[in-house]
Amino acid sequence: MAEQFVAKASEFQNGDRQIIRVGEDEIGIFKHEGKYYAYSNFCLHQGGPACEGLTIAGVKEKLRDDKTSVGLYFDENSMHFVCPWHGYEYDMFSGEQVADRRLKLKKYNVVQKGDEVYVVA
Amino acid sequence: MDLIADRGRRVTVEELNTSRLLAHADKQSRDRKFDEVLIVDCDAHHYENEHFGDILPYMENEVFKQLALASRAKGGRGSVAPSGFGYQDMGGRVTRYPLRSSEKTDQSGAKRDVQLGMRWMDAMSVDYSCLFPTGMLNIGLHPQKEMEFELCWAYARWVTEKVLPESGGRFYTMLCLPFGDPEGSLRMVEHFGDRPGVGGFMVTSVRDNLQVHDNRHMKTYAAIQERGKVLAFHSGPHWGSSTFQSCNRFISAHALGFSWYNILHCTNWVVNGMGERFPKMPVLWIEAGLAWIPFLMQRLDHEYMLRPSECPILKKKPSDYMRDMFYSSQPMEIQDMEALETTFRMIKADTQLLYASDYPHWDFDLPSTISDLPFVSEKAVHNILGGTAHKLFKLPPRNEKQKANLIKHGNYVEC
Amino acid sequence: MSSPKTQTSKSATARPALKKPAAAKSARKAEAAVEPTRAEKAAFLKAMVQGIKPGSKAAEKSAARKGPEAAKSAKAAKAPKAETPAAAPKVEVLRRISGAASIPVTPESERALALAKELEATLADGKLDALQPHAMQALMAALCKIYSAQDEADMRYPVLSGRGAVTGTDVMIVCGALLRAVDLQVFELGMWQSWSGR
Repeated sequence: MAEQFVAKASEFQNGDRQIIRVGEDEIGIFKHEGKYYAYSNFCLHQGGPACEGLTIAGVKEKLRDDKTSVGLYFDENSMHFVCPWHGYEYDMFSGEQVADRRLKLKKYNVVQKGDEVYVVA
Repeated sequence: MDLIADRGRRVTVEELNTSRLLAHADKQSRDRKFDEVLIVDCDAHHYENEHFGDILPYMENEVFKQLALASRAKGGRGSVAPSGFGYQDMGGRVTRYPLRSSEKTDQSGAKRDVQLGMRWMDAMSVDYSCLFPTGMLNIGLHPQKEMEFELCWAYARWVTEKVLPESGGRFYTMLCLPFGDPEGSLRMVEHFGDRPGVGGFMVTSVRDNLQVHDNRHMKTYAAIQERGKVLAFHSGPHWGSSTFQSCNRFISAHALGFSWYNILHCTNWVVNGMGERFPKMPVLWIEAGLAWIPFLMQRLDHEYMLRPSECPILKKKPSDYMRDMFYSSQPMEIQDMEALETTFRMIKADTQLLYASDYPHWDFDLPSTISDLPFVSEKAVHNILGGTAHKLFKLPPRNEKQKANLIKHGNYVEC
Repeated sequence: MSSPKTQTSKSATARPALKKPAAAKSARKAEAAVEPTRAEKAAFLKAMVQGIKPGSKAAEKSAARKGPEAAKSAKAAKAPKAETPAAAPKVEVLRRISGAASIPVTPESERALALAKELEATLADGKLDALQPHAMQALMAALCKIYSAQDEADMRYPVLSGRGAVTGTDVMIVCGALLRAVDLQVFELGMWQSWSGR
């Protein structure tokens, strides 16, 4: 494992992402609300480019105490990224597949040194 | 390009480039040496609705042609073909839907569709692909049998005269028949049956009042059998149907719809002894996955044992007739591996299953979904990916290694 | 008929080891659980992406189900551990995808946000008289007119940012007061909503 240079922090804005190839691996690095997240770019489903699709908040359903449904809403506290091949949806913060959280994308550590962002891979 | 995500938030994604989108599929193909395996995709799609301007002039009846063309003119308020509703694109999560128009090609019209097709076929190492329309899959919902015929006829002419000849033989098709018009269906089989690239004919099975066993269809089946062609049933969802009105989510209408229409028509097909009436006509059931088949086999066998008097033509169990038929693999329910293994055994997948991608639709399957199954023999992998389709549709191998593999696994026929 | 595919095969990654369906019967007996284990699922998912690697546990298991001979050769195929450290991997930037350009905040919005924050603070401090009636009336009238004008111009968005912004009681009190202020009955609101679909 070694630190691989990704980008200048000053040029990496919120909402930006970068896909890099390190040897045989492909890694997607996101910047979301000031923090970096890095995951394998191979979807656990059929191997699609998991980190290259839409980012979107998770959808939840609100139930009242009597178990009647109020309806669907976007959960403001969540953020997902979605594999563009088939829509496999992953939790930005953990890399877990949101429909079955036992499935997780390989997560990589990201470190910032001064103005430089590195991924440990 | 920007897509709209939650609460109107804009998210930038790259413009669509199919080859780049499928770069990982290309890697899988190289890793698995798919070049050496003949791969036939028996179900892929294009968006013919983007070419109605080219298709509609092929309509025969001048009055219907004028109606159709006028509806598309500026300010026209007509609606030519029935359309379903739903969220195939998952709110833009499957980005190739909203970004489709952004993809650059050298050519436009039919040639654009061929160029796009070659991009994904090459990435997946698919040698031949059976091209189906998308919107036209709802043609069975048109209330006018005349318009149903006219649209099927016009599409058949356009696809056989403009699209297939551009593909260098790599696209073939099974033409959709206007089953609401039995005489028109027969005419189409007789007119198009011998054209190059026509591997068979297709029933768009989203139809609420189709009786596949109706005497009026027998001449059509006989004409298909006589020509050695395949009869395929292509399923689909129909959220607007009274059957699915109670589904409040698209997932429910989609998951059930595809299975339901195949279950419905397959039941009528089997119970009415169509397998005895047309034993030499290959029948193929498309795009409903596989899980419905063991269910229906068990259900029909169970009832047949108690009520054989209602199916006097049958000489064996319903499941035996179902094992004589063919099935497309996609969307394969890879969830419970043992259930899938049992399904493969029950349907005799080694000889009856055909690989299908369904690309570019949202639940497409790569060839690796077949080749990576741990319980399938090497011979079965070769058969499912292309060997069986090679025999059915007479598609020649594209290199010597493919030919050697076809011979090795007993699939090779002169084309 | 058409040109052969380009021979691009490069990797020697084997396809998953295979097992004949007939051999599955005995294996199935031993496995009581219908659902494959998590490890099996993981191995399959991995295989979906890269194929079962020779010498891996998945390959051994698959081979074991095939027969003793195959199992022996699968074990023998186990790759020896690398003696020398692998060369440093090469890093290549495949894509850089910029986030959507953010919409600049107008000075009016900036001041409105500051005012909203200030008013919320007075409420939290219990200073209910901080906002005097004439100021409330001017603010409420301006907000009603602007929101309505935007709506008419198809600039539609939820009037509140989220479900927790105000309570249902807050909404009922304000809506009731607004209706009374323009002498409208609830049934008139209902009629207008059903006619206009809004």
